[in-house]
Amino acid sequence: MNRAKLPPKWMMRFFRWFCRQDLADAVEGDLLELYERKVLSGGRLTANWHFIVYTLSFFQPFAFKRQREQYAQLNGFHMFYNNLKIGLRIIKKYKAYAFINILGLAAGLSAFLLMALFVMDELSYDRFHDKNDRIVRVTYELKTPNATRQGAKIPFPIKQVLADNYPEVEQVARFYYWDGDTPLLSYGEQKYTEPGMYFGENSIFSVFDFEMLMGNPETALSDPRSIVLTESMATKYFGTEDPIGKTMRYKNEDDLVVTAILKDIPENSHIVFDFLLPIELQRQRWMGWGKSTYDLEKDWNWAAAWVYTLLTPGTELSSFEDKLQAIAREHLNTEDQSGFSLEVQPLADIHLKSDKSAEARANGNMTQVLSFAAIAVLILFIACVNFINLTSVQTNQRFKEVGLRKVMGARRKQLVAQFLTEALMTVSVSSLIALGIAFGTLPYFNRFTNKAITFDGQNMLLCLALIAFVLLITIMSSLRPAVLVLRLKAVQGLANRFGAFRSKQRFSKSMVIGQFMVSNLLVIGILIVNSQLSYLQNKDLGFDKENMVLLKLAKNLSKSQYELFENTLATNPDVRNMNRGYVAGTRAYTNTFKVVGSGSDENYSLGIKWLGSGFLDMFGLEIIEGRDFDESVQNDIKSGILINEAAVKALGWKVEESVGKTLSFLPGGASQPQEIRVIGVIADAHFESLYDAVLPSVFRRTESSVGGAVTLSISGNNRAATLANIEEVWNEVIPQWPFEYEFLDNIIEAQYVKEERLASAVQYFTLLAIFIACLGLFGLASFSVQERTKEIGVRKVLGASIMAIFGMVSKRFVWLVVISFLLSTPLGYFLFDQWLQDFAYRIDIGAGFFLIAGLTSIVIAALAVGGQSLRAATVNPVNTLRHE
Amino acid sequence: MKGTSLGEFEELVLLTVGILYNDAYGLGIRDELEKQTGRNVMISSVHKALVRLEDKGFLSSYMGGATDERGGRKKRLYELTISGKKVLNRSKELRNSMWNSVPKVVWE
Repeated sequence: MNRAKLPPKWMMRFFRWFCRQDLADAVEGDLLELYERKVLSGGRLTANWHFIVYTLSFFQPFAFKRQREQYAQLNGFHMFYNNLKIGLRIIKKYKAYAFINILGLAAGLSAFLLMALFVMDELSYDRFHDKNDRIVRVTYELKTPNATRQGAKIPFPIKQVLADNYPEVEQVARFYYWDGDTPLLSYGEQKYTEPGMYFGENSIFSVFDFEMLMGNPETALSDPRSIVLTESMATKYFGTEDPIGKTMRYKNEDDLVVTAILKDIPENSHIVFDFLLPIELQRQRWMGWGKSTYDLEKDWNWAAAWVYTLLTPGTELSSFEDKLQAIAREHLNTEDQSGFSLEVQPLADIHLKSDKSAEARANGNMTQVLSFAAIAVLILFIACVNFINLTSVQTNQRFKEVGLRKVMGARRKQLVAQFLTEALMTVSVSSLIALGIAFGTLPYFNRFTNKAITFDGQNMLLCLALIAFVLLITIMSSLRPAVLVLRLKAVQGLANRFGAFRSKQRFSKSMVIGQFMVSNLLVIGILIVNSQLSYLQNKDLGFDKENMVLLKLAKNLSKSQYELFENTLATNPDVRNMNRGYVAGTRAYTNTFKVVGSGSDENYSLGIKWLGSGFLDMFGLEIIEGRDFDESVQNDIKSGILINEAAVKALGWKVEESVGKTLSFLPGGASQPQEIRVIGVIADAHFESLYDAVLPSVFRRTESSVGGAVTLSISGNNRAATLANIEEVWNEVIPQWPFEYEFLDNIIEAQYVKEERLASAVQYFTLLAIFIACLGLFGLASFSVQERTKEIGVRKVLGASIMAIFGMVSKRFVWLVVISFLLSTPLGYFLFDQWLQDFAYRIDIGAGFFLIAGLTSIVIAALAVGGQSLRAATVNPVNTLRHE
Repeated sequence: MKGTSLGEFEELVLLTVGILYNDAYGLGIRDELEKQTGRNVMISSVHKALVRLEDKGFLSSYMGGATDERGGRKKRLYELTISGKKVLNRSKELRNSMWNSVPKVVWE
């Protein structure tokens, strides 16, 4: 054949590159035939030109290579089936490892799933309101020389100013709650005191998305004598009757008509109520329905309402906040009281980021959510590391298999597919188990986190997506060793089992260090959190909290009612003492005070507590300067006060000088400041939560039961009988109010529930983390022992003792644990020191915590590795050396 | 496979394969098509149609012997399958019956 007759070579190569095999020969033949013809008819140049055009015209999908497709069609399914089969065989062959692998991953995943649900629930607060990105709460901050106070509630009349003067305010909605007493609500024969009774107004239903089942949201609260119920309250009072239009009696005084039924307020709302009454009702009641002049809608001194505004889209929060300061200047700061400023807070931030005084409900806490999230991620990390470690070690055992497959013509892709199938099998089985565990344990988890989380489509999907993502990464990294193995030449694989293996253990080792660092941290966490909590619970509060019964009053008792109650109970020897007033517990009242005669205009923020006579004795409080109230001196009762040491410090006085000084303050609802004189100083007692330092407080004498509480001190003998007797007397004296009580020590303990929950969560999950880490270590150790069987055999033959071999095998792993301990100590110190900073009274982090944690990890690790080492050390060398 | 309908060009290619009986290969088919229709036909279009017709099952192919021409490349020879013949018949019948349905007066 004539060389000159050939077309451009590069074009032919291009054609060969893209054209499918079965077409190429025939088409190329045709093209060449055409080319030959053209050469004859038009010369080489035209022929070349035509050839290029013709060839390019074949550059179309129909001619492209589709080898891959054909291949997949050919035996893809069978290959996959075969991979599954081999995978099952491998699992059967290494039962223990498969078990460890699957169990570890499943445990980790289910823990992660639960904690992720918790975190998502916490983050979901108030997001069910469609306009939540435009709703803000207006709050205040008050700066006084001794403290900065942030309050969630602001005065009622602010609403009108906001609505009138600020174009960016679309709507204003106010909530209000009176915690002075627990009101009684009755319908026919049914009477209950209802703690969930809030006041509101119609705009609530247009700003927020509380779902209304019956009634008209535009007029539900228009009439001052109306009431809105939630669904479950409607069922409680009316059963299956139609509630709309029924009349309920409020505090035995006002008849209210049911105008609307709301769906129960979702748990993930920062404000939860059972009833909504018109604010106008409270206003009218206090005005005596026109008889008095006090108007809460004009009271700028009383920070009483939670105020929410719906802003127009695109409003800049910071500039809106700046503009609000005009209100603070004009209405809040007076000559008597300055230092107020207003703040705005996006609705969605309230639950996790707000901890002001008078929040509508105990809020969550970002630290707790973050620590849950951190623990969840750490556990997932430990579980995934396990999986990666065990899978890679196992892969390394299969040099021979890979070698043989290569000799038989397996392609790299096929081998990867096989490892991938096996990894996927393990992962999907454990995911299923994890889902099962999560479903099964959710009720228990809910109980101890005090939540009502359910699996719904949304959170489930998010969880699964997260897990799928993590598992993908895990599988990818577990394939790393497989890829390394595959790079080996077939002969290498067949001949040499261990050659390339050693260097790669560095990876596994650093993973083990990571795992044990995490579990060390968690152990340190448990120890510190627990001892801090028991410190709080056992700390001397400075007053007696045992056997104190707090009665909840539905209404302030009159003097005569109280005296009758007291005198009747005096006959019961088990009632040691009783008293009016409210000092300890969850409610704290504060006011601002000025020092009279100091020449300075400064305001001090002090707590106010109300005492009955003989209160100090009853609570075991100690007077360190001055005297107690003298019942025969009228002035003591009217204008005498006791202050605590903290108040002395806050006011900048000395204990010895403080008696006889005078303070002035503006009582709620009054227009004239009142002057009060210090008659004594009492030792500090922790009436508030130990999170905070002792609140500087003023103790006033009261004749009525202000704050809605009567405290009884009982002997503690025959508790049940004593309480029954008290109830009997109560029902005689005050038959119209139900008898309800609480024990003071329970109230105080309840303040630390959040911490206790955190502690128990950390505890359970730490155990889990350690368990998983140990599973991993156990797996690694047994692989490593297996691999060194022969070495151990030879050593034994040469006379090594069991202890020496035991030490040799364990040493490597124990070292890893020691290193991880050294790394986790400073980290743990830093983290938990931060946590402790939240408490005003806290333990010192001593070296003991770290030593105990370190020892625990080492002992546990030694146990996990020890069994394997011991087995290796005691095996008869004849059995191990017989191989090959 | 996308149905079993025939495009116009595909029908022509199918008929040409029939005409060339025993020597129907890519370039040969193109030459015959150009001769019969007087149109300019791209060799790639012919191959495209052939691949598609084979996918549809109207054609089958086998490799012929090597020759000295064509750079020693073999020819891929095509022949009508039974369903290929059927589909040609059907389209012919369809045309005939439609022809017959046209009223005589149209042709005058």
